[in-house]
Amino acid sequence: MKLFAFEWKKLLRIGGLPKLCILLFALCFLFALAGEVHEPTDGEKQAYRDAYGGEIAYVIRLAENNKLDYAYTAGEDSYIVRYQEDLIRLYSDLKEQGVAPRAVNGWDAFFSLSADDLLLLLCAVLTGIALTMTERDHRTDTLLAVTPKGATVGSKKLLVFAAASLGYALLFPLCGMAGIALRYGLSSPFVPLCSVQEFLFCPYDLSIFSYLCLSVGVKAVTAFAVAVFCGWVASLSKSYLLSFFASACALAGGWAWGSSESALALVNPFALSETDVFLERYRSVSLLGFSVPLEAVAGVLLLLICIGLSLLFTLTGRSVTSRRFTALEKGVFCVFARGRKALRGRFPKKAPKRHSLFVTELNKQLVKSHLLVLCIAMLFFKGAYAYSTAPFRDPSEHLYLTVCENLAGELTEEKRLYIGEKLARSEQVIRDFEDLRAQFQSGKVSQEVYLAKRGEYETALEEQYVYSKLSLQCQRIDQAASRGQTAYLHYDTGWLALFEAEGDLLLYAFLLLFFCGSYAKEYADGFHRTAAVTPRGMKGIHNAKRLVALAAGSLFTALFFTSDLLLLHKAFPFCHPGFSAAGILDTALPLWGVLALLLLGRLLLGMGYALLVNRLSRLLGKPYLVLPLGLLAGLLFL
Amino acid sequence: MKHVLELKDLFKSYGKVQALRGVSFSMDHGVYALLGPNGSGKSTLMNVIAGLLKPTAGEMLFHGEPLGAKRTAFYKQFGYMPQYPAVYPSFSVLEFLQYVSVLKCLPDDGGKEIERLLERVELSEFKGRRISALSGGMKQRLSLCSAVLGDPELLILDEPTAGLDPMQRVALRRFVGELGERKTVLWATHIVSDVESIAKEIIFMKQGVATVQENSAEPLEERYLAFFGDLL
Repeated sequence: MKLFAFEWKKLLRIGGLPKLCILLFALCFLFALAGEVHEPTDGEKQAYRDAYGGEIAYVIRLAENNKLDYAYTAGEDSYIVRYQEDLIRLYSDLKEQGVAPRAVNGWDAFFSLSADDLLLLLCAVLTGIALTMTERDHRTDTLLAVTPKGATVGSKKLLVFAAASLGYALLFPLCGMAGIALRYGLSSPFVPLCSVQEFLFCPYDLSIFSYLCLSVGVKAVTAFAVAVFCGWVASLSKSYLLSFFASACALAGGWAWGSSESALALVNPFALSETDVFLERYRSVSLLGFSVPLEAVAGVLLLLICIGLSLLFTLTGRSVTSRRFTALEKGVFCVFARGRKALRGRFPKKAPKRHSLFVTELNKQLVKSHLLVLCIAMLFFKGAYAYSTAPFRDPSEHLYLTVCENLAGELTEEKRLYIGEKLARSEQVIRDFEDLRAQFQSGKVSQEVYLAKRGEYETALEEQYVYSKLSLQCQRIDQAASRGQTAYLHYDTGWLALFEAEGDLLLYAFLLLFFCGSYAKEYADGFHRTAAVTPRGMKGIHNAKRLVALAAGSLFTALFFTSDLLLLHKAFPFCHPGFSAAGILDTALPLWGVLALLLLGRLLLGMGYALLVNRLSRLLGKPYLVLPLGLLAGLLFL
Repeated sequence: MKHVLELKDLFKSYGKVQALRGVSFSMDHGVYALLGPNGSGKSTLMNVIAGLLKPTAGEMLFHGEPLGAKRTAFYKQFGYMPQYPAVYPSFSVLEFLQYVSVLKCLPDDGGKEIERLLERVELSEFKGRRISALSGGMKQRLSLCSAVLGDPELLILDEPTAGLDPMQRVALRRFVGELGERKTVLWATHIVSDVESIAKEIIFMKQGVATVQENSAEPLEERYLAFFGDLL
């Protein structure tokens, strides 16, 4: 316990970290107090309570229908049928127990907060890296290596991670609650969880309080896993840069994994720290054909991950000496060092050139600091991420593209009639099939007739998708005409996705990593004092660094934007760029003109953000102080 | 006869570079000076003895027992003062020494011994002060304190007088000299005058090879120049 107390002291006395955490708690409180949350009106709450019983009955009915369908197509013993059975059992139990929503105040707003989860993960990353790096920062590795109990310090650090994670998991929701309580007031938490609209389909009889306790536990374990992972990378690499980069990659990878189609996608740090996703409706995973609740699978996986990471962290701390840490770092960059050496050998040495401060800074920040390696790695990562999450053109969308290309051009009355007729026909087929299903369930229609009509029904579903989208396009064209602008029918999915897309989180993460250490080296080596007494002073260096920020910011923004554009175009082609954008936006500019403006806007934002991070680095010096503030600023840029 | 520490044919190489080439000598109670220019292998030798680096070949015996799996027992009788003070600047002087006591499994968290050592290195009045607020010389003395804490049998000091003023250097020399009467001290330095009067034996390190000489009345500086003269 004594070593644990000392480790705890180390954490609390890491320069700026406690203050930073307090700042993040305050931010969480402010987000809750003044940020965007959703608190339904009294009328909406009443309507929700009135509709609850009907909604649950509908889910049970739907599950019964699905069970019947799948029993014929997939078999009685299939996972999908078992899943429907689970749904029926769970929601019927809820109905029998008389679980019903009560009047609540503030909880809907509280559960719609999401910033606290991001801040929690950020604190976990900082804790993991900062506490592990203390020994490197103060060169005390040797002290631990040559003392009998030094090897056990790693396990004490794990205890500190656990305690800190629990603290964060408790304090962030409390800050959020305090903000919401001041804003809307908070009613008693001892009411069923389904009283909160987000948990309409919560399959278990839980109170809000029980859920909060459960949520704190899961968040704490998730934060612990993140802290241990970051600490492990830090103890292996002994480099802030590599640790933050690896942590960012791991979290971004988790996030990308979370956006995939797999049911297990929810087992990622972001989903786990939110925890809402597990109880907002019933989800299960197929294990050997059995339907196992996702929360149980996620819990077991999370515990296994924690145990595995803890073992790795402890073993790394015990077995690796400081010499090997640097060897690992050197190993990462040795390929480049060799390449450089080979290149130097090929060309005769030239007289040293006098470079401008800009070139020197660029060389210092990009090449000498090995950020070039990170740039290439990040671009690969971006490519891989963009490719893995690239939008997919499903058969309905493919049909939409074909129909749009056939109808492209001015919207004539003939085209309008055609679209209306097709939409009405498809909707009629869908309605007919719903009736047929009811008759089939009551035994009035044979299975053969039912299955024969199913193909027609699926085609109608695709057509309904296509013609309802075209119908929406017609409405937008009419609106543009009322504004005096001419718009045309065309394939608009790609354009819509492009114009409605939010900023690129990865780009901002990249720029943050790139520029967070702009001034760290100067401050650490005391070079800022030396430079200050030269004729050009620090002003020249500031200007050069700003120029590097502008150049690199614009270059990377252009690269990231282009890669997104190409992937989007591959899935949803940007047809007819010369057409007016009036059917999508309130402007008569051609589509390519809007695209150019969008690129310009993104470039300005990218350069602005790079400059901001550069400025933060100048003010704060240490990368771990720049990172959280830069991250928060990045969220504003998104 | 069992020596306190005996090194037998130690080799250490970093890739193609051989930092230690068959180093062999033994140490008993007394102060042993380790002298050599930069890159001669002094730090590598100390790191190998401290267990921070694994030797490529060779053997180390502590009281006649091979140092291998028995490192934990060895560390209970071992003190190491690195070249740069290895301290936590956010801790107070007393907190830091208590922390080291816990790491060294000392009874009563160092208790009286810490008080005595702080008195000895003239840091008593600063025991409540944060280490970040100490001068370089004070940190150096604190680092020495942490190495000596627990009364270890074998002590390795890497440039312990760096950053100390002349008075403190004399005081430290006297302190280490006293320690050498009942302990084994290996003192690595560039300042020959620091060890001249107290060293029992001088270990000259040159290109990874150790040559041990008895200390004698002949001025050490002359012997140093005679030994390393070809490198000048």
